[in-house]
Amino acid sequence: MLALILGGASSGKSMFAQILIKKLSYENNGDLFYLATMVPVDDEDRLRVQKHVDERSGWGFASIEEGYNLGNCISKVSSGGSVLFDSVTSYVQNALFSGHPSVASMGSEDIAQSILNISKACSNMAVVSDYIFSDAERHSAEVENYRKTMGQVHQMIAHEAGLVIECAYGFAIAHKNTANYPLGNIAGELQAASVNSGSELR
Amino acid sequence: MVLIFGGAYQGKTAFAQRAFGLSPEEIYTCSENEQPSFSYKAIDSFHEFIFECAKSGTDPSEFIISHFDDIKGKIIIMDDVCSGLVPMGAVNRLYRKYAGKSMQLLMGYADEAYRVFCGIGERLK
Repeated sequence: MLALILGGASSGKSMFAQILIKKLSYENNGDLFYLATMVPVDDEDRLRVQKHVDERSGWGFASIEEGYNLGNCISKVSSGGSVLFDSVTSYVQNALFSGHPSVASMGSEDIAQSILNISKACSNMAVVSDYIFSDAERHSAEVENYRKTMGQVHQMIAHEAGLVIECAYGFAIAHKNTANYPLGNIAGELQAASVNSGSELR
Repeated sequence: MVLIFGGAYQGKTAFAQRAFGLSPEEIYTCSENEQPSFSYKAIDSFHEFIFECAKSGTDPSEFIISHFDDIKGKIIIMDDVCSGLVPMGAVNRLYRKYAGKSMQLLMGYADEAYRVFCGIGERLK
């Protein structure tokens, strides 16, 4: 199953994705992978990466770090595996702003396709991204193009996904669940994991 | 009246076309320095008109109320710009406030309202 999980900063989207992908990997007894697309450039980034690594410790994830050429990841994931893709946000950022030759000329469709290609090489994938489309700031053309690309990539992934979740307002809202995934299975763990933030499943 | 809203780049116009069988010629897209034209079936990017109002400090509520008869039977499409950080500029802060007020007003008038998320339209009213 392919799932797209969106939300704003600190909306609980990463925890939702972690619980979901772990459950999915249990269900088919496959390997668990964490695909990190952020390329750390300074100490602040490295600290953030370490925080995420610590949060995942003991969950059984094998980490793959690849910010540019997602094609390199196809051979690293197993066909029965479950992949947590974190995140569209940083991958689109790399594609539009890094100038790295693997991604420099990619448009929305190429970006979405390179992500979807990984989902085809494994059994389950949870794709995490940020919802950055509802502010009143009038952005520069460069930033506006980033938001547009993100929006288009999200729509293309959502179209293929069996589950589309929005983490917001203290809830995880299912906008699409054509996979008929029993979300009740996640509710208990999500609540236990987020007692402090009071998140619920709706 | 039908209100269709959602964040930027969510596929709102495409959803309106799919759900209401609109052709591109039936959609008016708001742009700078213009009042919306009501001779079309749908008025898209209504937030751009609200931004114009913010630039001149004119509350768009008055326009919406006085054009109630024109708006009846139309499909209004607009960006939700009210769920981000407080904008730095005064005009953008007013834009955000006007957009929220207008959306509440239109939601009150609407017979049907949809929020579009990642291309998925969900009926709220």
